[in-house]
Amino acid sequence: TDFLFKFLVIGSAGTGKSCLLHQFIENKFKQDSNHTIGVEFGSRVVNVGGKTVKLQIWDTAGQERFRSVTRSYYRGAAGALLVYDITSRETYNALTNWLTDARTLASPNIVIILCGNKKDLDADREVTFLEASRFAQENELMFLETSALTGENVEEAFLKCARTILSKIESGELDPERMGSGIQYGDASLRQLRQPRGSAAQARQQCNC
Amino acid sequence: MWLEEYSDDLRDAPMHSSLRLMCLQLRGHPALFTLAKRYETLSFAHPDVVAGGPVDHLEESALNKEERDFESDNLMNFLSFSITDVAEQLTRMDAVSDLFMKVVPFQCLGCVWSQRDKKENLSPTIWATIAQFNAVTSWVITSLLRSSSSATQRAKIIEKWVRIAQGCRELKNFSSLKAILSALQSNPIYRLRKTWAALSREAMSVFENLCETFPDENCVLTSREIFVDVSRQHISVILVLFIYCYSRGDFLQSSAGGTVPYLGTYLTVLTMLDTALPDTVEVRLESCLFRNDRLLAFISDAHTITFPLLSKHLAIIP
Repeated sequence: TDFLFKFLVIGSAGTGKSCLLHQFIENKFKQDSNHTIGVEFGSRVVNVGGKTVKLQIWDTAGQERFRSVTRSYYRGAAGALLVYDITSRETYNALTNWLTDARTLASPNIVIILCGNKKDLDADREVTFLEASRFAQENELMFLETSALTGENVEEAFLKCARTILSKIESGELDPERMGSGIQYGDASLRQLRQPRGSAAQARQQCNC
Repeated sequence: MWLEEYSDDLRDAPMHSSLRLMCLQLRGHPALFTLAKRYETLSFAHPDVVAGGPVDHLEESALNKEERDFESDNLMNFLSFSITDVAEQLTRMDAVSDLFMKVVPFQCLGCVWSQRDKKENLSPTIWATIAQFNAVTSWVITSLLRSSSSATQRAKIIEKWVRIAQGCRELKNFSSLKAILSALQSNPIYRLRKTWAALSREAMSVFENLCETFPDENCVLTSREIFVDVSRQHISVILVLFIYCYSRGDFLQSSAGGTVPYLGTYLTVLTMLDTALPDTVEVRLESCLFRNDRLLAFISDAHTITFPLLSKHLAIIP
């Protein structure tokens, strides 16, 4: 792999975070006939713009009920899926708190995509698409409505986030060498990319070849 | 006693549920029990303090006293508590109060406890431990965020909490340990840069050490590195192990220095397990459709392994 990104899935309890993650990992299961049950639960290798990126995804899975989702969880995360449930305004109202925590405790540069989950339950909707996309815009978040049940936009959410991080690395806006960036080089890129300065520019050139 | 003069304050109990839990601490301690008694008498003078029985009055008022120790301008109150006492009290609240003894492993199953939409609370024993955990966290945060405190004062309080955390670690009370560490790492506390800068190097290194070693000590499977590589089979093994340990009382033989686990770690594993392999018959059949024989065998294995233990344990529970 070229890179390893630490990803977080955050949001209130019951928004379907574990299901989103599972859906994303499970997809790989279906494609990869080789594999049996001895599989990593929290990570998946994806191909983004010609680079292989290993996403290491952390899920609080119920621990958000404890006030324990703190610095050690956020530290060094490169990206996050911020999840609310479109059928629950309460989970939408909690977004600001999650966002503040993510930006303070992870890094101000963390790339966040807002996910309005349970898109399949449109009849019970309590948060409109428009309202949430305004919120996303004001807070400089990407935004998608997803359904962990049908799988709609799940893959897209993770990939979109990874793509943004990668393009920020290539433009030099994110520096993988900086401590706590949440980005590590994989074995493949260690050989090619690790140069003292201007490694980002180099990476870009190699990319365009 | 100054509290009697301010007895009106007892009318305001902003954190009822957590206060009630905190009171268990007072009851466990002979010295504080006297205080509790005293305020029981006091609060009977104000029958409108809380809606509830005499026990509630006792708890609320005693707890208000406790809380006021931290909220009052007398900073020294908190700092003068012996570290061992506080750590032991926290452990008493978890262990002696039966909070963790009462946990029914069955209620930890992801499919049971993590249902937001279910109106009735299907896992009250789990929620009780969470409420206690969050009460300790709030307690730590509150003790640090009084407006009058200076950075040096706050640093002293952090140092105190770090040492209390260490005390919890020695008592193998991972629940309270995690609660204190979480509070100190929470956004409102983490952002106090001047305070952290004023912290002694020694306390800082103890704190960092506690944060780093925490996961490995609490649970067989918590360090993320292990977790990332774990197979589903192992997750299920953890479930079985957990139920087994719990039913054997390994965790909680409090008199013999047993362990109070931080349940969050286990609940996460069990929630993930439930997401991956929901344990209802329908879904199980469904999953059989696209998974291979090995998994099928594994699922039936898991069922045969799990249920005898589970039922054995359930039989023990009165």
